[in-house]
Amino acid sequence: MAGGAIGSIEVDGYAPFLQGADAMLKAANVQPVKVDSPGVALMSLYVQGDVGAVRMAVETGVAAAGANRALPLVIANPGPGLAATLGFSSAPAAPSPAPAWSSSWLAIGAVQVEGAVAAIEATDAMVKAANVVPIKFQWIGLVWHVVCVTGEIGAVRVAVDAGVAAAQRVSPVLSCLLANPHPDLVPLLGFSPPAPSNGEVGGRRRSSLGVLETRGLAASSEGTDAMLKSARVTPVRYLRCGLAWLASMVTGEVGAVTAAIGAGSAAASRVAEVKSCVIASPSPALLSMLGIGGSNG
Amino acid sequence: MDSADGLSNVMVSTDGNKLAPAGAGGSLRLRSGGASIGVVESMGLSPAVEALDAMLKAANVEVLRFEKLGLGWVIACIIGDVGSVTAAVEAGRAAAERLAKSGVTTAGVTKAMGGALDIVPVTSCLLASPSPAVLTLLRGAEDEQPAPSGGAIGYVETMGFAAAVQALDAMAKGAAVSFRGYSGTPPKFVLWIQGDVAAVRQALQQGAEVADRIGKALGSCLLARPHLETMENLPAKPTAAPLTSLVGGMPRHIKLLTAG
Repeated sequence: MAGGAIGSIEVDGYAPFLQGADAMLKAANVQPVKVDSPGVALMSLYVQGDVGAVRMAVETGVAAAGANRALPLVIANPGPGLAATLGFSSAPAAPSPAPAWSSSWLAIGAVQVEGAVAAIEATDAMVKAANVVPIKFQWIGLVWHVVCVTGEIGAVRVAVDAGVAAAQRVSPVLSCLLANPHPDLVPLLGFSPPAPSNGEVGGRRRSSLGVLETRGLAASSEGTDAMLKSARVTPVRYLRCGLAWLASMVTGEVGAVTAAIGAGSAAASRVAEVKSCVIASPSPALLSMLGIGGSNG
Repeated sequence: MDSADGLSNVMVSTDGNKLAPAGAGGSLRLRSGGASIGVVESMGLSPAVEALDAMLKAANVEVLRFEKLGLGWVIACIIGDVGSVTAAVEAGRAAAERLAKSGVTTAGVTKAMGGALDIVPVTSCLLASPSPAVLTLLRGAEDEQPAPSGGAIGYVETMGFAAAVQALDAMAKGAAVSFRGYSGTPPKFVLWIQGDVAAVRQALQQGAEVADRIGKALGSCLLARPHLETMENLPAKPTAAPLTSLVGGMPRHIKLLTAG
């Protein structure tokens, strides 16, 4: 093992983190050890190697991620027990092979937004804009969600632009495009295998998707109750999507869903903050990413 | 005092990360007299790692607990003899503050909470002679606790884990109560104790006083005759992991709905 220096960058935001981490690994000969996050959209990549290499990598990573967003850390001579406490093994780990399904990847795009509604709208726009496959849809912090897609670089570029445009209307957006991600980085990021998207668009009872995102349980209960009573919709998901935010999703015919979301928003906004959206024709990839069973209602 | 047990700590923190036994990294043998504890708590992982490194290099101490508490807060706890721990905590706190003052780790949270939030990014505490309750809190050695008796329970809520540790020490030393566990959403922590009504009342007073003195008390509450369900939601033996059956101090049947 060449050197025992430890370095990391801690970045505020997933998209800047990807850029920084990719730059880190490409800048010098360091071994990535793990990706860690204490919460609130702070992500860290830890690397090991020679002091000089680690320093160079960390500097480059900070520059790529943005100096106002990234915190560098270089420990030239880690104290006794530090590496073990952090979970590093002392022997250099053989880089785990990238999963087999990633052989067709060329690029990764990431879009980070605030709130589940913005994330769902962004995902839908991305998947419809180009031939990309979603590989991550995750709540990563207080309010932030991140969506990652993969595919050919041209397609990913178009998709990320479309996702940013769709989400910008409702929330601040951070995005990034890794045209040629470092192969050691990909296995550490915990992407799930691409959701199988049956390309069929048909189905007579193709459902629309409505999402009501509210701040707090009281507003969510009121809103969901109003939604279910006002029109013929089926509740499909009810989950926590922020520190105090809950998202309630229903499906049904587009008219019913629109009416339900309208009634639900009105009821919930009397109590607390509300965000909502109706996706008239959600793509199958989006639905399987959300864990909602097929498009036949 | 079985402080020699500090040698073979194997901690499983709540998110499943196993910490290696303290001796694995080549650390020096802990002298059996050493039982002081120091805690450095910071917002963000890098300040905490830097603090831990500085602490390990500054003196002959061992890692007691290094854990992400959630929502960006990370604690680094060390154990050793009082002189070493004092020196180490000073060094660790300075190192963490150096990193944390750039504001990267707190900027996102401040923005998300709407701006007006004064987070002190690094806090620390030092207990020269911690009570068994604190050792339970930090490493889960339940055998050191007196068995819970008495029908009253109470809690103290503090801002920050370091403040919680100090408050718990004061409570356990101030009256004959036993520590049942902690819960809460970081940076706010709730410490649950049980005992006779008078003992719990006294302990809560002392705990709140200590937390007030360091400016971090958020309130306390005495449940003199708690409902049976509340008692059932407390674990039989106190653990080092936070209580998930109590969310922010409320019994399970009022817990926020989560799905999936």
